[in-house]
Amino acid sequence: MEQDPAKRLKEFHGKTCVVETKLDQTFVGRCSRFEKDNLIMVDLDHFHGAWDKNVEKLEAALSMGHWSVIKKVFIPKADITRMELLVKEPWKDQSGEFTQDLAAAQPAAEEQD
Amino acid sequence: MPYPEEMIAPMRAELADNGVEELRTADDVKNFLERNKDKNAMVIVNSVCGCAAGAARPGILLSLEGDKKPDAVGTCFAGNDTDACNYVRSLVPQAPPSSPSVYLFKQGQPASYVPRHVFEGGHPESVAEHLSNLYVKL
Repeated sequence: MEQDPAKRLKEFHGKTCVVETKLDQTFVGRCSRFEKDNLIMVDLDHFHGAWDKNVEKLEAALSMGHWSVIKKVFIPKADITRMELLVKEPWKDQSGEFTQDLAAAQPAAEEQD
Repeated sequence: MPYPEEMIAPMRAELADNGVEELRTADDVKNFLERNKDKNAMVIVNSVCGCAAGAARPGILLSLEGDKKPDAVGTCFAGNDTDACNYVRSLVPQAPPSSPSVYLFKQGQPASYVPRHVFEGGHPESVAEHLSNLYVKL
């Protein structure tokens, strides 16, 4: 797996990700881009509770896709506890820790718009 | 609002020029599935997005070069062939709308579904392998 934080952020760009926050929320949707302080996600679904409380819903999203119930959200990077591509099924091994390195990283210039 | 046809024409042609039947209306889809109700069929929901160009379309075409494949393959275009796409989606109502995506039918009944995130960031080879594994199960 890519270790460089900026490249990891770029890996998420445009792809369906699962995000867990300190506010006990789980989001599944497309990662639009990272700003200095926020992650912008589009066409996403939202579940209450952390990943381990939403395994059934995440498995359903993996096999059938997710419903787009929210058009766009700005998630403060400081609130993200875990983030990973949906296809990597990170809830199974509790991977996807959103480290301080990732939170501090700036996206590569070509993905800033 | 639909995409300009001149813009998506090459994206349609990439499949149509390789033997995939274009299904522009709901009736086209119904007739396609009716004609192939005793066989295995696949409907591709084509898309303008980058993962359709980089992974889905070339991966699907690569998968159709294998020995095991659907007997009939059709396609509709998300955003343009709206009624056709809606009809296909209505056959698998538990699947959220997604494009590009692939619907597999066995003897007229939905058998498998591949949503967009399978194609995102993928390579034609990995898409072809994923689909080929589904074809074997038909």
